[in-house]
Amino acid sequence: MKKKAKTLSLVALTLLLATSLAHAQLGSSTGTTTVTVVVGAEAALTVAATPNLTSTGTNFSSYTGTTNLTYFIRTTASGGSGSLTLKVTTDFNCAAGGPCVATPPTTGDALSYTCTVANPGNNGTATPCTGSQTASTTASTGVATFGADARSLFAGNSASTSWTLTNDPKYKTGSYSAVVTFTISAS
Amino acid sequence: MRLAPVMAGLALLLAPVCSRAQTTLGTQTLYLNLSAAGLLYGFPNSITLTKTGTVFNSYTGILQIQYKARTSSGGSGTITVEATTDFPCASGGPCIATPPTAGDALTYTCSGATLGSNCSGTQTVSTTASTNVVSIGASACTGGGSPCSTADPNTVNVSFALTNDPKYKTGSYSATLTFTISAT
Repeated sequence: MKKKAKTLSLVALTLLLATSLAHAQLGSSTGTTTVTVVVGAEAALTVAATPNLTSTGTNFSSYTGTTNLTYFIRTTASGGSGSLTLKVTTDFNCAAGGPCVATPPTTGDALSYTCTVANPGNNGTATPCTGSQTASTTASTGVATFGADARSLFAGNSASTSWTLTNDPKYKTGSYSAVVTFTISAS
Repeated sequence: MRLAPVMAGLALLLAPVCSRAQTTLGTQTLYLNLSAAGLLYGFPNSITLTKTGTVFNSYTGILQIQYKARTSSGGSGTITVEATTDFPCASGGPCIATPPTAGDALTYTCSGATLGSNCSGTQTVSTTASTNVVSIGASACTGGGSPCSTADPNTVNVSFALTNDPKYKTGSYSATLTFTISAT
């Protein structure tokens, strides 16, 4: 009878321990997580400071200067595209008698530019604007376009606009500034 | 008449049961050896890294891990992570083993470990080695308050960052990270 009593006690104890062990198995010594990232089209640029426009020679040669850009772009692999444009968002001080983009003092006065752009360093093509473009205060004008799956270097790729401003004798002497805003986009 | 012996036998069998209930068996000493242990709980099975801002900012996301641990007086514990399945590198997106551009990486920082010490600084996820998330010292235990932790389960936050390289082709990419807890 005593042996049977001991057996019953041990069985009960085993059952109790088995229960606690079963609870501990709800955790695990390892766990896995799937890390997912959706890489989308994206674009950015940096604009270097533009030196003052200068006129070389003495016969009212146009004022010239260059703005250098660094662009970063990724367009959609299939069917994507991108563009780089500019717009004069703050005109010269037209009332001061100097150059004016919106209402040129003399017909033919203009702030115009030509473009260069390097191909995206990791893939794809970039096409610069063709010929001379006239900057505007009312509409964006093109600098470059990008094709599908255009991917720049991590450090960016270069582009530039070379400015020409008519040197109209009508301009009063003085210092004049305008603000040009560049915009890059990608899809 | 045949029934009587059967009933007598049955009575004999039952009698020890009845009489057992009335017997004092004595005392026994129970011994329990608690071993070191560590387990992960409530583990999130996915995380999506997202980008904020506009200038090719890194993709980021945060994962909270729950764990319980018990270490021996001379022991220790760790939680580590390893990329057991890389992104599909051949697809032109991110790649842990062979980054498309030098400097591209899936990195993480750790914070808020409620048992042990979380990793310090930025760690780089690897496909070839486990990297540290939490280090647990000797005689550590989860829950119940001193000398164990108050928190039960314990938690630690892991903040991931993936370089946003323009070189990545557009698309969706996934990798598998395996977290492992051990204790001695």
